[in-house]
Amino acid sequence: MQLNTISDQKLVKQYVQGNEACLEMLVNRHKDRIFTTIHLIVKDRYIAEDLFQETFIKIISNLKRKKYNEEGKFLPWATRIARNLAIDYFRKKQRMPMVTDSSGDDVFRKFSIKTENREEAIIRKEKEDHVRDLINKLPDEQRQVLILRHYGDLSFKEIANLTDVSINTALGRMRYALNNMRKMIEQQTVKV
Amino acid sequence: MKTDITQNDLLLYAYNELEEPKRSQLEVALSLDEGLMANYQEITGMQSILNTAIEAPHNTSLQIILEESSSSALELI
Repeated sequence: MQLNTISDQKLVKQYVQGNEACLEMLVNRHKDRIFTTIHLIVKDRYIAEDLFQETFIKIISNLKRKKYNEEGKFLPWATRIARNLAIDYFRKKQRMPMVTDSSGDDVFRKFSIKTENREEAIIRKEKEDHVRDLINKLPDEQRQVLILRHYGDLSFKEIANLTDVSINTALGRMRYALNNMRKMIEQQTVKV
Repeated sequence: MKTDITQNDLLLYAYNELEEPKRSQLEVALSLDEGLMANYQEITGMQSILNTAIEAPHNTSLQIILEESSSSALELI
């Protein structure tokens, strides 16, 4: 059996039974989307790293206490944990000490750039930053639906329940979010 | 061809949430209606752009998580 064909549900089951390698597979499978969701919510990479760790530590705790019963829906479940921790962060308004160099740049980011072609890394980062900036310009309600649906893999119905609106409202917000993103991209293209 | 496919249906389809029989109806409509197909491609184009913002956490975070898992496993023994 190929490792990447094992379902999340099976990985969770085997991890709970003591197979530590299954957690590593779950983390590697979902880390980027969960981290991106958190980063887009808190808009700070350092805090996102911290909340990402907290999210998985909570996931580990819940799995080991057999509190996970959402069969086959690991990512939306993990996203809800991440979102709740991000909301707690905003409530507490506790910030991690900044770890920057003398220019104020992201030290962790510089380390990772060294491991790949520097030019490629800069182009990739510019693209990431540009799209993230556009998402951050969206009205909060549209931004929230877009992040939870596209990166967090929550269904529109789950988003509707979570944000206490109808499914049509959640869908409408997503449509406006995508339209607004497209308009912003078109406007920037015209300017260039 | 006139269909009762809405923009919400297209969005649900793009995110793999549209259920049968609406899903099959939409697929037929997409093959016949260029305007509808253009609208669908706008959504998938935006999905591709959004995917460029997906980023990885730092390796240190991953190590911390896996160490936490191992140490909590030891506690259980």
